[in-house]
Amino acid sequence: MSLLRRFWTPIALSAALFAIVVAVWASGDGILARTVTDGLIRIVLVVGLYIFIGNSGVLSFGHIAFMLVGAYGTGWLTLSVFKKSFVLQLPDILANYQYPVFPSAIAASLLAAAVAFIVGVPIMRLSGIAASIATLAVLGMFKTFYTNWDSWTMGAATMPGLPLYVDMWVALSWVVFTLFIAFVYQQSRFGLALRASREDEFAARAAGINISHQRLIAFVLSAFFVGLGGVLHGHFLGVIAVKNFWLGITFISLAMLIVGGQRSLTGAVVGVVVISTVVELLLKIEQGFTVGALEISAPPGIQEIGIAIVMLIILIFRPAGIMAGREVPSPFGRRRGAPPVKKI
Amino acid sequence: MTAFFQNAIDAIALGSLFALTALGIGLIFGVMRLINFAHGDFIMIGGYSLIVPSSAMTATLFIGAWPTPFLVATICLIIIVLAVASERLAFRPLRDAQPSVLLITSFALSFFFEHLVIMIYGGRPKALNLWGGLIEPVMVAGVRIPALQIITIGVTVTLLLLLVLFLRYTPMGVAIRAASEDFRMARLLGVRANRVIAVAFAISGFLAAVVSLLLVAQTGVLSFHMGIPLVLFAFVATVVGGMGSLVGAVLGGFVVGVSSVVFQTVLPIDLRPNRDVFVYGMVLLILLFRPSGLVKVKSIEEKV
Amino acid sequence: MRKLTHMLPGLVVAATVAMHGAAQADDHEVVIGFAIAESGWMNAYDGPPLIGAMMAIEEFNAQGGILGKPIRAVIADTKTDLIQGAKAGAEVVAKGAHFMVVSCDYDMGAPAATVADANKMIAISFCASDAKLGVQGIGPYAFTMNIFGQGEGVIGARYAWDRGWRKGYALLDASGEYDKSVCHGFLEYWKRIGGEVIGVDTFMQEDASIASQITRYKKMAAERGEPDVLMLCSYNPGAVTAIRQIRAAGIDVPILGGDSMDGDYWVEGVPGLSDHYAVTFGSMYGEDPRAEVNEFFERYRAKHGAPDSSFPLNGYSVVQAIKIAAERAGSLDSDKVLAELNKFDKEPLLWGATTFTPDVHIDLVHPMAVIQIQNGKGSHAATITVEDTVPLQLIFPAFTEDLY
Repeated sequence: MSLLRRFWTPIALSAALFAIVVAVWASGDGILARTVTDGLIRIVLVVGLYIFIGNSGVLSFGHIAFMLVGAYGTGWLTLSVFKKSFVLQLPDILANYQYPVFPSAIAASLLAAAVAFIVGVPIMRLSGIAASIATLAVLGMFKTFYTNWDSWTMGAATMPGLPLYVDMWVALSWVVFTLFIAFVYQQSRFGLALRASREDEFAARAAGINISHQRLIAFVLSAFFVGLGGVLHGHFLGVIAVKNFWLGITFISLAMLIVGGQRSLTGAVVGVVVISTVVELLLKIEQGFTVGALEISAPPGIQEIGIAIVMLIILIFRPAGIMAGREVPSPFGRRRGAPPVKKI
Repeated sequence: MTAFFQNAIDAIALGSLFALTALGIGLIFGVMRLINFAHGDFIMIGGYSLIVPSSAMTATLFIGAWPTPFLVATICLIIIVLAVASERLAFRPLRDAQPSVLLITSFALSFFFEHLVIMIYGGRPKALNLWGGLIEPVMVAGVRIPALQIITIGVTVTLLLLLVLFLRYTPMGVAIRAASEDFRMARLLGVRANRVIAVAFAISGFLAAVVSLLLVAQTGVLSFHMGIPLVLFAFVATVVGGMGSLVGAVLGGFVVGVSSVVFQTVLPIDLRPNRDVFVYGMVLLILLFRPSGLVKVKSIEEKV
Repeated sequence: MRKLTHMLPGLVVAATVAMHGAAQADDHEVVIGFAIAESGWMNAYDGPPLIGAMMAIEEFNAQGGILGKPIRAVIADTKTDLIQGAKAGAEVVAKGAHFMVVSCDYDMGAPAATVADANKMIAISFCASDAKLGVQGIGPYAFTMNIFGQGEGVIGARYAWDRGWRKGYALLDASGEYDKSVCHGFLEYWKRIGGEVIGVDTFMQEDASIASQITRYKKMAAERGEPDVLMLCSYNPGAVTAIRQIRAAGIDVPILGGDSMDGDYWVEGVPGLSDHYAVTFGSMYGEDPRAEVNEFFERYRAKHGAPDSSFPLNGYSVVQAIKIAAERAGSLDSDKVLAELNKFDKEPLLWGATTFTPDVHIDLVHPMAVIQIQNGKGSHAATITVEDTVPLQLIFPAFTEDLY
């Protein structure tokens, strides 16, 4: 019982998502299942972002670089030897073997985390906007480098042939894993120390918290999950291309996090769910449907314009995001001595 | 020697475009701590305003066919209005929100403009010829230089001078500078926030319009993402140059633009496609060694 | 454990198919599913071939359809988006299509083609120029109705040689794989037939200015003489920007381009452009050496207005290929039709004689037209076939470094 209370947030979120997945699975609608799978993958991605951005308060523009690393990492490991032999010039250990998908997913995500460690050590000493732009510079470097690293990445071309194993259930499993780890982290002393620095950097430092260290920990952990998001994305679509790990996905993932409320785990999940749902609704309107004798449809492009307007409206009315820093309301009452923190 | 001179002009001309863009972004960043991603769309819409709205595959000049003074004035006016309206409708309600929220707001606005343009004009790039005569070379000190490069540099220098005079000697200019350095203090001292911000957006819009015209004359095409490369490097430039400092924004713009040309010229052919790795890498190094940027503004650092 | 994880994709696919219910449809009609861009910028390149395909469907239905059954088209919009593209592919499968047609671009068409291949459905791209939209990339059921990118460079080189040009210069837009393949094909073949390469440079699609590339060109021209031909491997809008600046700098050297430069809708950006040559599928101006091409564009113009490029030929040819292969197989079964497609040997399709083999699902040797722009007006310059084209290895660019 106390386990339920302690882990209420990830349990509640997982249960809600599980219910959605079961409902869609039961309906037999394969296309809707794809949409839900995509949404679940986005949750892994955005929660990954949240682990760093939400807890540290530092906006990272370049995290998609880790998604890129994860996606290509799993590509190198899981593509068939046949396909690799035609286009890529990989070292023997990659070129002549095809590895099973589960260990590859872990390995690729670890690679993303390792890269984050290397770039994080210098960058995490920077603060605020300088760190944000520094991460953007990192993304720019990776994007350009991977685009020209023909022998390993097929350059600017799409890399096809990733085994298609990610369906709703696989994605959901990874989401549950991600939610629990994110929650455990934010409740841990590392997470709390980082959140303290988010509220008041000077006070935290005075209390003996080594802010760069804490940020680095969050940075690396978040990169693992963002990398995992890349892995899942790759095995869902079956194809990956460098140009798709650039500004578009950066914008939409940050938007989902901030619209949902960047200061809580629930906010990250809610942001993805709300925006994905609105996009889907607008898409249906665009495609046209009939209500009784009435045919409703809209010109193409309405979906994108619509989502932009919806996001603007949500932000104008709830500038702290939909969840505004709160987690899933707990039926067990609030923990003593921990009032919600509000930004002045 | 001529090659060096030519390369220098190339670098300064590109740096000028980046500097003007960085200045437009730096102005807003200074007074609102907002990274206005929609600035790229101001540039884009300036270009699209030149043609008849239609999704046909070829573009018909509309305002673009007017005599130059009217053309310039109208495009500037359109973008100034657009910028001020954006501020009023999208950013003012969020005046006190976190920088990340402001950023996403500007992203959403940018997304909105982009798709609006795609809906009206179609998604395919359109070719058009604006001031074709300007890209012809002229002889300067025995070297053939495209007239447009000279004009770009000239316009940039002139606008910068005018802006410096404005910021230093007019009450509104001083108010903007004060607000850039310390917004709260400025308000406490009686600076009207709404007015200052509106003027900052108006100037930013004006700068975007100028960049737009120079860009279209240079490239000969309109595309819905034409503003993005400039604006991306301009953000980076603003921070590298020094947040809150307008001189820094200009300096940052030149540093990024010049380094881009330098790397393009100096790198061996195998590394040339990776030019941007070096540009971004240089940016990283600057940030690591001077985190507040090249030009330090004292009040940016928080006081305990 | 390994076996199970290898089986997993298959299990997932089977589950997906089962969830859709009866995916293999109606035996009373032939359903061709188009998972292409009806919106977004890709529509500019998918729209015209789609019209060509519809013209083919109309024509064949008037003649009795395929195997006596009428052809029905279902269209799913990819919205120029990858995730949406995969969904569009899944939708097409769910609607009971027998064959899938995907976007005229490898990157855009890959997601839907992947879905098709996973469902053992034949997927043909209108005009992707990358061989990876084929056996070695997507899978054994994927095809593309185009010549491989390097081949366009080869044709360009042949045309240049036939015009008596001997000194070449290549300017590569390094942001696209298509560009790299065109330039590599050009350079490899050009050197092989004895052409000289006096300089190579690169730029990026988004560069507003190629001033420093032009400065370097001028230096090279001063030292080694002006080249006879400039191979520009890029696509719009970056290509127009480059050409505009090149001509403005007083460089009047003939410029060669690939099928991305087909049409004359873009010439407004370079007023009075002359001596530009694009390697593409045919002439839409009415003077193509093939009567059926001219007649096709006549009908196109009458119904849909002036075409902007020759790509509709490919759209028509895709449907044509399906019809021929299905009728030879005597069935709509994917594997049987696949076997027939794999036997295409210089099959006379509207866009030209097409060859597919079990290993190569893109055309290696194909007659291509060279369209010239003189004074801003397009016209047919030549139609060329190069039999001794670049080797198969070059399709898969593992060896490109040596070419610089």
